Amino acid sequence: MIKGNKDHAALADIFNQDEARVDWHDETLWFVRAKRDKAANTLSEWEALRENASQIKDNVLSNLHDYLSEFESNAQQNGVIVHWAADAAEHNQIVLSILKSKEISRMVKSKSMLTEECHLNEYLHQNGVEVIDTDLGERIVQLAEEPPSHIVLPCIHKKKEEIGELFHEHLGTPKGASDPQLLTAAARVHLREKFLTRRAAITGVNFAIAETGEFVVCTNEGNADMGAHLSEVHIACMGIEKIIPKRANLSVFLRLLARSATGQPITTYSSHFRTPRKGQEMHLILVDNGRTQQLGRADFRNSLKCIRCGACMNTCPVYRRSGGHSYHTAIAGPIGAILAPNLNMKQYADLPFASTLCGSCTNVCPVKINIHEQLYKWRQVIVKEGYADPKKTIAMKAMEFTLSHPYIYRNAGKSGRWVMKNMPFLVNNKLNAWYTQRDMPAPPQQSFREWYKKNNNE
Amino acid sequence: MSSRAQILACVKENQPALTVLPPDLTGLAQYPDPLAMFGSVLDGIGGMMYPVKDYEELIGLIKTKFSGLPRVISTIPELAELTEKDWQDLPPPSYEDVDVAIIKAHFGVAENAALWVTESLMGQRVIPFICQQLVVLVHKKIFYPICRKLINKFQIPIMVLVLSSPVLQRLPILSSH
Ligand code: SF4
Repeated sequence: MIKGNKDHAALADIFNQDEARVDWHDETLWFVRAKRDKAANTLSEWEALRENASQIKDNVLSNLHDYLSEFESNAQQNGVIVHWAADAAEHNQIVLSILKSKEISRMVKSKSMLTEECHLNEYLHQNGVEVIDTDLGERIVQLAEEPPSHIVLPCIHKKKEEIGELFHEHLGTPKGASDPQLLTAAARVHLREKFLTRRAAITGVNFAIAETGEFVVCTNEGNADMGAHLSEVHIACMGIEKIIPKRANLSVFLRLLARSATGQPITTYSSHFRTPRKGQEMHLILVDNGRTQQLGRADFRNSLKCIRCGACMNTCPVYRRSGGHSYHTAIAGPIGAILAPNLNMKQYADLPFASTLCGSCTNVCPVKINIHEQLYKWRQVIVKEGYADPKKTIAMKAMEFTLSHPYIYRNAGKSGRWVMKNMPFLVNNKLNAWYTQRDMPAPPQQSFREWYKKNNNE
Repeated sequence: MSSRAQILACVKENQPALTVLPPDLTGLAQYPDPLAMFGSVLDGIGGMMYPVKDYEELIGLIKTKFSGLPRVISTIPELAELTEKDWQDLPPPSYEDVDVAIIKAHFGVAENAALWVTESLMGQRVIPFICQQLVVLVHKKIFYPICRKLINKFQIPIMVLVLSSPVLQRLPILSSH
């Protein structure tokens, strides 16, 4: 991981060193966002769909206990082996124990943000299990030994030349080759061999239907299906919030998901897994890892409605210019900044501040999560709990003191203006955080107070 | 306490007051000609639609479109003369070199060019994913404007799958800089 002990701003600075890359990142994600708008506009009922989806998810959260029980018993009746994991560690142990019981040490995995959240690959690697990510973007970041930087477009931060270099090194493509067609074909040959020879496959879960005990996996590359259908053991991992009540509810989400994510009318493959294939074992792991705690936080529980479309990232002016890795958590962007502090408030105290609070995320969210309001609320919680950035706390204290002492306020204003006019180097320097991103304004001739006094006396 | 019991207890304690499930949406957009809409959406995502009037015409089309490809399989009995025999019970990896697979779909959806396929129509689950080219046959009467409650009709299937662009998307497109 890139993280170390840097916060969002420091990590964004690293990303911002390559200005051309930032511009490209910004424009590409905006292009995806614009595609989302076009796709949304093809449906006159778009807003009604969002409202419906939001209400379905409200109902899910309000009745989660019963839906989980219903889902579990239906899945078991379908022949699926159901496991429960309280946290990431338990989830990882369950996966390993299933593999061990079958003496499997090499497997394929399709994209799942939950396994990223649990750092499953690292864990399995440490325990002698080789994991190959089969989503093309995920495979690329895996070869680069990096985490994904976006939940839908995991290697969006990489240039095609860099991908060519990685493929040259690992897959033997010609040096300097960067043609997407050629690289994709090479990746395909490489991945096919893995699909055909691995005995176990892990997939994520997009939706799990309580009524039928089946789960739905959406991919554009069909890689989840290839893995699952060729393997002897299929392990599906899901957060407990992925439940939806009925099959009839599913279409609402399928219609929203791909349009919000990439502007496609539907994901290429939306597969329902209900029973294991003959001779196959199908396991499903239900994971909590902080979700029940978030459910108990009234101000933040709405974040559990998220269907991981990535629309809030594509539209976020901060994400587009700071890159996914600056969020130092598996799920980047606005929604990640709400989910992460729930797990560790101190470690992720910086993230709710990585937003302009412009509200664009809230406007695009297909399940109507009040994202920017929650970010604002997290800031208050974080400051109250004493986890805010000390620089900001000191600045705020100084501000509070100045504003509550009129005499000091008057003099501070006066000397500020004097300094800006006569000794600009004192404010226009690197020590002034405000100056890093902005030009300082020209100081006004007089303060409002002086102006008011003068004009009122005339 | 087991993790199961602990999670369920914690969910129960933390979940908010019960809200009702909203009624299904009504008054959704309709398409005057669902089949034409399907064709144009399919075209937009890289698939191709070929209207044929009977199996004879279909056989002719497949012969010309895929001539020279050695491994063609199908779950459709009417196409037996074109395809490999007794392929259905092999281990999944042995379909690795299938060039063309021809299957049926239960229905198509105009809004997003999705096709609904269940396991019974695939023969083997891996078929639509592992083959190089996929042909999906669907009766032109069975096109619906939007993707909605139809799936509820299929209570029996073991697995259902929605394919949007049937022929392609085997080559995911890399983002280019
Ligand atoms: S919060 Fe909303 S917009 Fe963001 S990923 Fe989740 S569902 Fe999509």
